[in-house]
Amino acid sequence: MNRDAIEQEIVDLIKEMLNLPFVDADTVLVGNTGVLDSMTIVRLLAEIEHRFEFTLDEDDLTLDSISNVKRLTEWVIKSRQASH
Amino acid sequence: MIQMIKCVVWDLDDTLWEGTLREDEAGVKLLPEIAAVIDTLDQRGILHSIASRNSWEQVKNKLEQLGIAHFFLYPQCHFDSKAASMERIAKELNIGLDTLAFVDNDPFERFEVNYYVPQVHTYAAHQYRELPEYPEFQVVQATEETASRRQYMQARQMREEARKAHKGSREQFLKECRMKLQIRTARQEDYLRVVELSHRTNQMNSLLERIDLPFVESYCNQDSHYLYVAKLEDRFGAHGLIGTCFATVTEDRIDIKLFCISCRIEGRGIASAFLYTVLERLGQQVPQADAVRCLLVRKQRNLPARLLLEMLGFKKTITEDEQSTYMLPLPLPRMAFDWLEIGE
Repeated sequence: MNRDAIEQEIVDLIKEMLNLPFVDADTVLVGNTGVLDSMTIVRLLAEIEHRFEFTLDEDDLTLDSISNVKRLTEWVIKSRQASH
Repeated sequence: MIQMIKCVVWDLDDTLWEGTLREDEAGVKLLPEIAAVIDTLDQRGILHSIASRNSWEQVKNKLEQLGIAHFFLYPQCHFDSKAASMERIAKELNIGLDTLAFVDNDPFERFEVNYYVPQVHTYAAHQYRELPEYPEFQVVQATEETASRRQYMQARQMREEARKAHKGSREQFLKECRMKLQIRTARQEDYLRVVELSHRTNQMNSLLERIDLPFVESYCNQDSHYLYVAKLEDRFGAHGLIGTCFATVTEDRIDIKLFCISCRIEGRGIASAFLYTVLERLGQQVPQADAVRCLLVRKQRNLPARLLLEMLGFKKTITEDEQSTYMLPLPLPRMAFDWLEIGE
């Protein structure tokens, strides 16, 4: 699965979970204008683990690394490589 | 510690009722005393759901006819595996799989659930009368909140459905929910619910700590010790007392000793608004304080608590064993929660 496909799947997941019509690579996820609260982030990450079949290292997780869709995608790719 | 059951998932044919709905609709009748068992557990704040292969239309009619339809949340009536139903129910209610009980007369179904979702507690149908006696079905002490839990969850279900149907932006949707968050110091009548929250919360329990009533009472009698609570309501109804925060103040520092926030209010930034407002109010009491400290037990199950602190601007300073110290310099960073009405 290439980077763009992973990003698209994450975009679709967020759209579906939050019923948001517009989500793209630059959508801010966390922070004052973010669309996720801390419990929703964890639910999203659990769903991502399930879909992409890997285990996230939570110690490695910072808010910065998931602050928008683009960064979240990078982080997922990195964690996935580390886990496999 | 025993994990408390938060929801019982019932099979229907020859478990909840005698007979097979599809074959003999008129002949189906509830097992003796099972309605009383359901009601007893409901009074304790334990929810009910369904995992059955019958058609939902037929099940709904039968449950209404039997007068027990109002007890069941997120019923799963389809041909998917019951293990998948367990996962869906846990997800919809936002509770852990280890807080689900599954009752079925068919050993195959129980085996399958045990196999794929081993966290779920399974029970044979004939055990139904004894369920309220088992330790995992005991509650600390029933509060007003406990007995209203089903209504709160039904309001949540309505809100979720409205969210799925809403076409506008997320902020607009949250505004349309007309949420009112009441934040104030705890009164005597809140203490039992505070104890209960500490026992029921995992995701948003900073120390994964369970406290008792004498602790709360003695805590509230000490100088410079504050116990805050938050109650939420919106256009779908009341959601009850959903958060609590223990804090102490000294001249130069505010300490958050423990916070516990219910996970049924997920997805609307309530937890941030609650802790932020508590810190804002405490900051007014001790204007010379220059930092907030919060200890956090770092475990996978309370990851949301850690992320919440980070969202508020806390930074980790020290970690010893599983406990980390988080610090936030004062004055507070500016944050607005304009989709919410915050009151006292």
